[in-house]
Amino acid sequence: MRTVSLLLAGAATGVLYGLIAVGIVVTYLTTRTLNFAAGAVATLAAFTFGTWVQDGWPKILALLASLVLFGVGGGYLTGGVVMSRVRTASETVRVAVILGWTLGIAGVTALLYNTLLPVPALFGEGSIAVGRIRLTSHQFAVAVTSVLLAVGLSIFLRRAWLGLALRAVAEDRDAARALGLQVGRVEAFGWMCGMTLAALGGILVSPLVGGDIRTQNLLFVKVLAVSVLAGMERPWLALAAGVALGMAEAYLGGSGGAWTTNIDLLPFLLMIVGLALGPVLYGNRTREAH
Amino acid sequence: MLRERAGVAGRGRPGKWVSAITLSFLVASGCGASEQAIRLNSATGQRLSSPGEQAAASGTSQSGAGFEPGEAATDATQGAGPGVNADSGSSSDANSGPSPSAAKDSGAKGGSPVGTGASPASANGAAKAAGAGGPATNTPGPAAPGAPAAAASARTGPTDVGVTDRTVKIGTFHILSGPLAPLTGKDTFPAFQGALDEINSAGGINGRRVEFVVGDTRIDPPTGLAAVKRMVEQDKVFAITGMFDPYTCNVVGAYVDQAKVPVVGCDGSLPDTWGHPWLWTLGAGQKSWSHVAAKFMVEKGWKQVDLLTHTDASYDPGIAEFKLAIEAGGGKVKRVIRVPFDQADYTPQLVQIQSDNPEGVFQWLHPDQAIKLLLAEQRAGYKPNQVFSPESAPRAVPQSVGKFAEPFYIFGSGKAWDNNSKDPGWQRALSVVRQRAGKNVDFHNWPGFSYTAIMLFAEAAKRVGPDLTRNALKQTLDSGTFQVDSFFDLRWDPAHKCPSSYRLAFLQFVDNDYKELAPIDDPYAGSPERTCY
Amino acid sequence: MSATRHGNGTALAAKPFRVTSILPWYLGVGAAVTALSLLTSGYWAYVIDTVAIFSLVALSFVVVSGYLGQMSLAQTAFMGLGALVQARLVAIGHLPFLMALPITLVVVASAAVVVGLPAVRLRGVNLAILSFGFAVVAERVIFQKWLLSGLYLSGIPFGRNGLGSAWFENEQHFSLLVISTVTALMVVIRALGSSRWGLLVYSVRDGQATAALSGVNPTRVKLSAFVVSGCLAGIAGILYALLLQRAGWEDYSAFNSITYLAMSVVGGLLHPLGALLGGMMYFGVPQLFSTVSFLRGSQFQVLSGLLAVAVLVLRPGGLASLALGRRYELHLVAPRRRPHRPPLPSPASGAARPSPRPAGAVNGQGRREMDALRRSCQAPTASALATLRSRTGERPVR
Repeated sequence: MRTVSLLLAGAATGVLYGLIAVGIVVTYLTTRTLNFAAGAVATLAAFTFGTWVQDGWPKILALLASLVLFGVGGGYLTGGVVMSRVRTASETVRVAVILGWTLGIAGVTALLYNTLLPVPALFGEGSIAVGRIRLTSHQFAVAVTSVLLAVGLSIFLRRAWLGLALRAVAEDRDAARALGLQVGRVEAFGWMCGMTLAALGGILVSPLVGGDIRTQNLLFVKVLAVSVLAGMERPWLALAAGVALGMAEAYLGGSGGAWTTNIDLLPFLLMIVGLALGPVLYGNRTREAH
Repeated sequence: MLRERAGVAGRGRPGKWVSAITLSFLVASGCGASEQAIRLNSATGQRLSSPGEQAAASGTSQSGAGFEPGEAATDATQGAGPGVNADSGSSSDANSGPSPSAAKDSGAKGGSPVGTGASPASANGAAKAAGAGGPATNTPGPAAPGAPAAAASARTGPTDVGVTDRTVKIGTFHILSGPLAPLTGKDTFPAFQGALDEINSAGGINGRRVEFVVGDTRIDPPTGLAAVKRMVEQDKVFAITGMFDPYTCNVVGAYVDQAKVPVVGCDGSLPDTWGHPWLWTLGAGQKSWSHVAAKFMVEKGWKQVDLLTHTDASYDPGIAEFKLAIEAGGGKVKRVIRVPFDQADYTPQLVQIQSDNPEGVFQWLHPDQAIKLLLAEQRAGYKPNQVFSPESAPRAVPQSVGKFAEPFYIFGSGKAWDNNSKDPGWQRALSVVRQRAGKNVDFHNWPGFSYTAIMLFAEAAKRVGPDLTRNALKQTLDSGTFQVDSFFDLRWDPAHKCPSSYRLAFLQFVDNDYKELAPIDDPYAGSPERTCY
Repeated sequence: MSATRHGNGTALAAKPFRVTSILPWYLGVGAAVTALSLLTSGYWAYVIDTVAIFSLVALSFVVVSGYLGQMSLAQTAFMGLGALVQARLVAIGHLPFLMALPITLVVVASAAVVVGLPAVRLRGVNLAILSFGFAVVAERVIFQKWLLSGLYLSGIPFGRNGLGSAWFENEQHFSLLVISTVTALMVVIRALGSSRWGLLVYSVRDGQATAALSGVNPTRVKLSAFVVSGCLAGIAGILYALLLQRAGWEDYSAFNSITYLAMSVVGGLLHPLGALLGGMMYFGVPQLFSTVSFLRGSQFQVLSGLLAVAVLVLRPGGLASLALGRRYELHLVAPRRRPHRPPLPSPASGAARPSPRPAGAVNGQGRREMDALRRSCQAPTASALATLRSRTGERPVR
């Protein structure tokens, strides 16, 4: 029974990794860029949400306002204004642009919010029993939301016309234009989706993880590992990989011995294994420069 | 094809010139810009210590800025010609930058330095004829090495770098910007300033007013080291104290040993802070923490215990010592659990602890981790007997779960750090900080370090007497015992490998307040292998 | 990005090149910087040293990300390996510095091969994250557990007398060593960039398959580039440890790789000047501004971030391409769509060349569109393109 409780608790943590990984994967699918700015946007959105709730706004309103401001607005700014201008640049340059952008966003956050703001939990503070463990209702709701999001996005990106358009534009811009798509707008929309997911991730996850920058860095690194493990292709797989990582961490973390001290390495070992097995599991994904 | 490309990149030749000019500009500005920036910030007038002296016009700088205007101490001197009025008043300067709050004015450069390697004997007593004394030297720009030793008369006058007969100039560094600033510099810097105000209003150090320059380390070691070097080489401070940044403390040791500049009051949490003859750390090290925690638990009858800590490998020695100490007390550590910093929910760890059913748990965690643990415990309705390490000092930790946390045991190097402690020494420290630095300062462990550091420095410097030199300060610190309001007895071994104090305060949070229990001494205090690094 | 072609890198190497033509520049700047360091205080010497060392790190990015075009985030691993192995051999093993150096470089080179091998098959994002993973493993396992074993994570004190003499303890003397080393390496890398080896590397960058058809062994070329880049980073690590006088693991944390990458790209990935400018922007300029108190740390952070974005938007080639010309960003940007212009009449010919080319499908733009159309028909079945096509039917709408 203890094992089951451990795995359940681990899954609850893993869902958080998965949620953010879904955002990263979706952004990659729609923009072919690794969204290094996700963490900074998440923090900014979470702090803003927290401030507005503190000022008395109803949570739903604060949530929607944050998502619109940072997701839609921020996404447009990132995609339509900044990234569109370096569209023809190589991947390395675009990563550097995103990194500079991230620095700017993090700086803005530090300017606006001088103290560490505890972010209120969107879904309340009550607790729910799941098996033999108790989770907060927020945790539980986040888990449910993540599953719905991951599955929903997967379907959206594979079946819906808009989802296909997003992916098509990212796959091959000129060919997509040849098919009649408005590539500029679709690309901007792709960034909006990515940033909205990042902002949402921040608002949902911050109350649980905390806003300290080192914690966020660690979390982001794990999320990267999870995304790679999932092959940067399918959102639902990203969520599943996150949950799997969480469960592995929980199970191995307190088992004593070498795993206890080196538990931080687990995501990377899994990632290396995943990349090594990648061509076997996911088909040949290597692409040349052209 | 080639020509087409040449057309595109037709700026080959002009590009070279552009790059050369840009480069020279950047390089030149590297030299000149700092001077320019200082002129922008310069105070009006300058402070001269005595008629016999010269204000050297080297650039002083104040790096970084405080949180809001008014906290930053701008400090700049403008060089001047000879024979300017001597004024050692305390009016605040009108700066173009943020205006400083009450008198953090800067001192003029002292006269020519004695030189860092000068033996105390030569600084005492007899006047030296090693070159120009008196008003002759006016050294613009960085001080030339080997400036003549203008030894003043024995009692007053400049006795060492950064010391004049009216002022002592110190440097300090804090984490003033960046994401961790609200947790650290926001409180540590005002605590330092409060202590400094208190010292100055009580007459300074043997009549010498203490002035300071502050550096922002941004919690980045190379930046911190640069700030320290700037303070030593450009600002010519006498010593560095009142600081808080463990990462910078961790990297400055080799440099300050070579430069023979005292650095007084680093916290000793990182391993390379130890073993430097010119760096004095405060309080007990992690090995002593382990011993004391184990002793507390064993005395309470908690012998089958667990240890929960984070994955930071620099805590390995402490973990090993904890195991040894528990076993020496007849107990056993059933399990050591290490948790990553970004773990959101501590339920998995709690499940494991619960399955062990230990008599006690040593929770060696950072404050945000401790909060998450307590929240998980509250949800699960399971709270083992537990004692927390000093990092969990902020009140927010036990208050995160209200009454559920009580009794909440914790220990620390300082006598107590809570606002309501009854210890008169602590109360004094608290009132000083409140009065001088305002009510917003959360005065706990870390600001306590800054406060203690500057108080300790002042006390040691006072004991040295009027002939204040670096070597004399080192000798005094290394051979005496010091009591500062907020810390227990502090004393150092010459190699600085052992903790400065082996006594730790124990507290219990109950009825929404901290209650002091009996302090505990490290039982291995005498044995270097078990406590020293 | 399969639709766009990046610039022909051979253009960079096509200029006839002699090392002596560039020596005056490098020696001149090196001498100026040395003079600056000797004439000012130890503090500025320290700043100059730090800038030089970060420039060397950026130089390692020039080789792997500029010349070879791969995004590698493992540079801190190589730095740390260099620093810790050398420190261990010299400070603890008591080997003479110069004897330990080749051993260290062999270790670093081996690590570079380990990182470079997957690079043969992986590209872009996946390689970046994998190399980052390697850097994390290096930090946690190799540095903390193996190289610092028994030291409980305190660093290895690496005094300058490890260099053979305490003369280097003076910051200004040490800066002589640092500046000369970095200058020499910059000359070497610049020369390599225009050499036959450079041509091979560019050809692999511009198209592995095509290069292989021309008889180039892409694996060997890629690995050699990784080894060069790794060794540069390793030397930077050694110098950095000597600068701080300790070799600790925290200074070589994997996260710094990301920052160093950004620094190098903003500086410019295709020329050593870019490396120098990157290093200056990263450490030198903030030090300058630290003396200006009206600019708070966070404001400065916002400014630097936005400035980096602005520079790259303006010139993807970074600051180096601002200074040296667009030639140094050709690889980093796909060619712009420009209406075809006739070549300028050369002075020698005396007469205008025949100018207008027939418009239509033969010109660059039309060709690109036809390629795109063809690709949209040939897209693999699982791709979104194919799905969309099958839904919207055959007619391509303009």
